[in-house]
Amino acid sequence: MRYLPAILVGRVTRTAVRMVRPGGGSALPGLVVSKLAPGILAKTFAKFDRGLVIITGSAGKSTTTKMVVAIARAHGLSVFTNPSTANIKQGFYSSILERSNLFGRVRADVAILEMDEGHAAELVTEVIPNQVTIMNVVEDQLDRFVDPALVRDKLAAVAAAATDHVILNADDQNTVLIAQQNLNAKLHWFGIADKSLVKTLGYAPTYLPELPTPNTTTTVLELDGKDLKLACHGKRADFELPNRGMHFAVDAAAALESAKQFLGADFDLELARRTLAELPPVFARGEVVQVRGVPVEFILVQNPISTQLNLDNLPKNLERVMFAIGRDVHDPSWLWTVDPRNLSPVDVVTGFNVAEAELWLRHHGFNPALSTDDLEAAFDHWLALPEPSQGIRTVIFSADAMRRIRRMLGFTSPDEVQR
Amino acid sequence: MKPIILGTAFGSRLNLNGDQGNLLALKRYLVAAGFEVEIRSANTTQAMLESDFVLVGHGSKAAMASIETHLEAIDWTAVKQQVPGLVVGSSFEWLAEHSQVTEMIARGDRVSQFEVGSLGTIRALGYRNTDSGLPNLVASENLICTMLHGPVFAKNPKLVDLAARAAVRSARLEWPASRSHELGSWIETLNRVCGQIWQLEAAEELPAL
Repeated sequence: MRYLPAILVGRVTRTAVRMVRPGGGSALPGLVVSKLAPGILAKTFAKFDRGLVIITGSAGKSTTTKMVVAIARAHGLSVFTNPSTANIKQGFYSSILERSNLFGRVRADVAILEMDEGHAAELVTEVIPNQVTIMNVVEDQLDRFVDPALVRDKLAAVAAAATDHVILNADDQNTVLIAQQNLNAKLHWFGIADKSLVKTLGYAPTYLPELPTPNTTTTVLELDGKDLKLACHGKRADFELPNRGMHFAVDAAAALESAKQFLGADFDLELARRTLAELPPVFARGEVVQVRGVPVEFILVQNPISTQLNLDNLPKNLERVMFAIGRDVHDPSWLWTVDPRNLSPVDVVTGFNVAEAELWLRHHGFNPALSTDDLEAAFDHWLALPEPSQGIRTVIFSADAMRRIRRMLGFTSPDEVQR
Repeated sequence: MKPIILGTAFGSRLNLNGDQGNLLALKRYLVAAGFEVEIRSANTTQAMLESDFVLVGHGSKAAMASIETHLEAIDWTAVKQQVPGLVVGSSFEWLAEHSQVTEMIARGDRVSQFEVGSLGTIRALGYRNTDSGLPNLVASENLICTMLHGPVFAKNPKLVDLAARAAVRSARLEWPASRSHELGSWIETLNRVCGQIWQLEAAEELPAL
């Protein structure tokens, strides 16, 4: 009963926000509840029978969380989770608001949460996770985090808070360093067999003498396109990934190892494999969307390494490319760490940071025909350009530009893509 | 014509915020002005002295620790006296900590935002993310030291022009008496695009070139 007023006020706020911004706005209702009922977070997260599972790190936590949640649900568990757009404190309050009854109670067997790497350390001073998975440390959002070593320190604090299991990336020297501290929980490792591929994943260099790579219990054996060959605790689990890219294969390995640990004896590898094989692709990770009857490939770039990997993986001689960098990129300096030489000519550059993107592109010899901060006008202009003679239209955008384009196109579900 | 040598110190490690983009911006400007340009690694005093311009970028704590002994081995007095250059972020802090510049570190609250700094009459916009208290822009003999990380040359046409002319003098070449069409066109582009960035991030207009 003590949380009833906060829940009511939060829901009214949420309704109002959604009237103004359909498909958006999870932060404000959460902020309201956090002010009115700050204790609801710790109380809620302490009440799940199968505990609290946290997935964090610089890159891949969103995909991995979705995979672990899907595996848990396939095993018959009721799961409380958060959308990737709500992975900081206010977002968790918003998620509770979304799933709780009027008295603030959430019915689920387990909480599986994606946590922002900058906020997770503070959150684990209030909530105690049973299990923590740390994906990696990359040079990302330096306007917030300043230095990768500081991110590593925060993630080490999250690992130290786990009571049962810590799952770490064996191929990232940062997570290997995290494992060298005294952890209360049991350690488990995931990774890839072909170590020559590790450098393509862009983990932040430590410039220290190389620590031995720990033995992994879940291992990516081979990836050919989307066809993944994987070993989990001595058994094979081969399937087609929903999205292409070695980083998705690593996410799948992390997800299987994470699910295996919190499900314990209930874990069914074949069921988990089938679940991952049937997952819909993550929006804007190289999948095709029909826009006004025209197929368009949307590619989300979030940091230097994801931008570099995505540009490197683009087909040659693409035509009809739009590049959009939004307000989420507070300091666009990192664009200059990316080599765009594999990018085909860009027709349109847009987004809040259009001038920063244009400056970077022009220094690399690109001459976009249209440059405007009006995203809608840019998209309409670009879509009206003649059909490409080969390949399909491609939009490369940051998260803010993605959200705005999705709202503009009326996409409110994250799964509106073709498999 | 002999090429202008742009040297970069530990370029692969001192590029945390795209600082190596400064060399790209400088090269692009010099090429537009009609010069040949070559970018080389310059990790020693000799390699720096053989350069016509040297960049010492900004690196992570790990990167700075990994090159500490190399930085200590460099004769900074000779470099400052003989070579124009740009020293960014953590490398500027390193010089301050080792009394190679007169500015002192005074730790305080961290600032993470776009700021405008001054170098004489030149105003330059860039991203400041530091708690060091060191200035946004300052000259130390021939070196420009800055806490504005990333491609500060790219965003500030007057600053890149200053650096380009210094590199040309260092190479004992002559700056063209008249502005070529290519340079004029490139400056026009820089003024337009950088003007938009200034409009977004600064409380003042771009001092156009």
